[in-house]
Amino acid sequence: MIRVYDISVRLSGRQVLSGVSFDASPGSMTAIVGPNGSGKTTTLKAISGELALSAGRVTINGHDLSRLRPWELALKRGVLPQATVVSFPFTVREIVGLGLSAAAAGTTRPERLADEALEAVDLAGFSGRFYRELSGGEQQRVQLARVLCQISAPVGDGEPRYLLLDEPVSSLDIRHQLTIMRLARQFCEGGGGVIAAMHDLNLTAMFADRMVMMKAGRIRASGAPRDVLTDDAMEVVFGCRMRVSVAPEHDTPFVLPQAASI
Amino acid sequence: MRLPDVGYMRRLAPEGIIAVNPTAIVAVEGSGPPEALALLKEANIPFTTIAETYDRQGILAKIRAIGAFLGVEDKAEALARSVEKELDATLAGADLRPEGDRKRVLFVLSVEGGKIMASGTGTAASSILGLAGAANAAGGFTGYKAMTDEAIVEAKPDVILMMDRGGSQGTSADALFALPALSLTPAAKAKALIRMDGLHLLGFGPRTASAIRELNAAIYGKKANASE
Amino acid sequence: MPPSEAIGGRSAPELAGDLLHAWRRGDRSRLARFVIVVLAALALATFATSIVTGAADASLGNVLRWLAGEAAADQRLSARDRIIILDIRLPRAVLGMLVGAALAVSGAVMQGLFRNPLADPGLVGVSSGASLGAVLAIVLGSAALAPLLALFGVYTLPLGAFCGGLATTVLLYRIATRGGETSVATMLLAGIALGALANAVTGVLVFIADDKQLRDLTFWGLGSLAGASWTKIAAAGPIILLALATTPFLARGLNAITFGEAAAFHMGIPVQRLKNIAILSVAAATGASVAVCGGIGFVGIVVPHLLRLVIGPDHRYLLPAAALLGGTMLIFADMLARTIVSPAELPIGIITAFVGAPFFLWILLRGRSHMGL
Repeated sequence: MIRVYDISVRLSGRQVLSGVSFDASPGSMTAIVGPNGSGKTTTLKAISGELALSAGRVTINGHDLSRLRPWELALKRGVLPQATVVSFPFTVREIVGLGLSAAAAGTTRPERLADEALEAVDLAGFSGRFYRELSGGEQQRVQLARVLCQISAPVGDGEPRYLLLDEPVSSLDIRHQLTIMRLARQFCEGGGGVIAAMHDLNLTAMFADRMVMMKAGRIRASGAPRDVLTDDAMEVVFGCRMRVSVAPEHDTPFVLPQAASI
Repeated sequence: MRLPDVGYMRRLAPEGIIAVNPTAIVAVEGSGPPEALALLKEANIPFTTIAETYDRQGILAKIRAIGAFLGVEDKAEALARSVEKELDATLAGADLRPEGDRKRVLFVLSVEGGKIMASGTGTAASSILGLAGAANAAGGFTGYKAMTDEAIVEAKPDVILMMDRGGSQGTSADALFALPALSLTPAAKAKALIRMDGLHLLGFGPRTASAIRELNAAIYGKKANASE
Repeated sequence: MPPSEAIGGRSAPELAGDLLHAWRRGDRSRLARFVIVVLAALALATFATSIVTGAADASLGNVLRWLAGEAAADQRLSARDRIIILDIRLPRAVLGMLVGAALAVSGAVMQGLFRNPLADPGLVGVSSGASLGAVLAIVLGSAALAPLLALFGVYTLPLGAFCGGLATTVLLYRIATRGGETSVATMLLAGIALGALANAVTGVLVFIADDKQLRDLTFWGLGSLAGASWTKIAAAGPIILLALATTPFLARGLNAITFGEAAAFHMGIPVQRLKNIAILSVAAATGASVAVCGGIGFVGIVVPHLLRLVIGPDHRYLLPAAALLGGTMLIFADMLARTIVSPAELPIGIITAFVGAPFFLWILLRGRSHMGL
């Protein structure tokens, strides 16, 4: 269980998060949504241990985050950042392999793990390519494969492990968006926990068990997607009145991921 | 005699020197680096250091010291005596002028990039000027320094003295006096530029007497322009 | 990595096939290990060659016999051989190996830390500081700093250079570190400012320097292994070896930091500790190298680049390979330096620049797309 107790974060003198509290249970996916600047990414960074808290605390499986050393933390959670620029000519295989070295020693058959991770993100056969030659979406999937190698299993050493995803699918096309979200879902089904900062409300509704809606550094609503996604919430949080679960009035076509088959 | 070039004297390469199989090494004071010298001494090659001096006594001492080191004291003594005679004769002739009548000579080491490196006091150049009966126009500092244009004009040199580095490297008198600092000097008006072979002029050895005569003649001779 | 493990007791074609197969799948680790073995052999060969090569004739046989305790036929010749081989060539080879390794590894570490293939050890201020220290020693050594000269004698210069380098690095570090966190971006900018300041002070000293001191300065700036002695090796060697010993720790961290400091933290790397150790070991290794050999350029940039093209940027292999190749390169350059214009000697910095600069240009032009430049 990741527990966030009333955390506040100040950055460059500005109060970016105030009094944020929620729980993320293993086996479930918690999505943080909100408009730009609402504090989604900051919350995620606070949970990952990257940012110092000005108030409150975060515990992961009962351990206080501030007391864990980086390598201990790395065994419990993996973080997928929004975008990564790499300055040296690494191959895809090498990038994924770096995740392995971050993982616990004694992982059985690390070679196989790397290949499986690449297959899972639908990049089998890409291991010989140079990372910098790939498209943004492909690079993002390679990073996910690396993180999966770092975490290696949803549950390990008797504790559930967590994936923290920062807008993981923003740069991907629909098919790969679904692939990634399904992978995250699988991770949950294996006993791990996922916290994702999400831009796309539809994908969130499809895959998340809990939704935390933020605005201006505070939580405005949290609960199951069907409870949180209301017309009022859309107006208050996103500043835009939208009808939830209602077909639009004019005759334009619309495509929803919810309607995807396989 | 064609001698091997062992490079800059303060940056000697011990192996290179050992490689030319010297039977003895005569090093001028100031050679280096110290570690190289230590190694050469360790290599059991007869080694001596000769002090660097810029006067008549020094020349004779050098000759005798080398003679003693090489075990040819007789020849050295003979050479020293003849050099002494020559020097004394030359100096008598050159030293006749009283201070006030002496021409002011500026020794210029180089004019690289418009910077004029001149000799102040305490150098071989300044000594040879004194011996040749001239006054050092730049007597206000020691060693070789870059002089400002104004200081050069203030110094009012009557003659410019430079080393002759062989045909290729010579700056012509015209080019030299075209430089703004030098163009305003009395030397420029008279187009008085003297070039002499560096080793001959500044070596302070057996040939110094003839260098003094040459320099004296060039400075005070009938022809103001005495380029060699 | 023992050669047998790298080769795995298999035949050459099998090994090559293995290598190729792994390389196609993007895994260059086997190739890297193989290259390291080759580089080690090359280093050894170059080291041995440099001991038997030189301006003078010297018999290695005589020296070996003397070491074995046998009396020599010609005492004087034997002594001469001993001096040439044991006091001139051997220290140069050892120092060349140490300094070459130090410069190449420092370059690779800096490039990893700054995530930029053009970074070099100068960015932590150690080069300009060491230069300033050396210039101070040369120009003021006979005047204001004369008491130091009396105390340390011929070691005033290296000591001055080393202290200058370290002092500048410490200053730069303090400027760039706030609340326990070092900003490499600030370090870069402050380094430029400090470097300019050091150059200004150097300029003043150059101005008041006399002719002899100017020539000394120039030669120092061009670098040389000529002053190699066992004393210098005893002074600089442990520092360099200690710095090189941190490379296994640095390697993992530098790999992770490719994705940024945040991502490295997420992967379990203690980022601030990584920076501290990286900066300290680069400053120490480079400072010690510059102190005993003067300014030698290009090794820190060309060697890591070249290796990355062949074995990839994984620092676990890049750092040891850089140490081997850097040392080999410097020993080789030194061999050229002391034989090309014999009996005089070229400063080694000239050779590394002559070879390094065009080579670097060639790499750039050939592999532009790969490097994202």
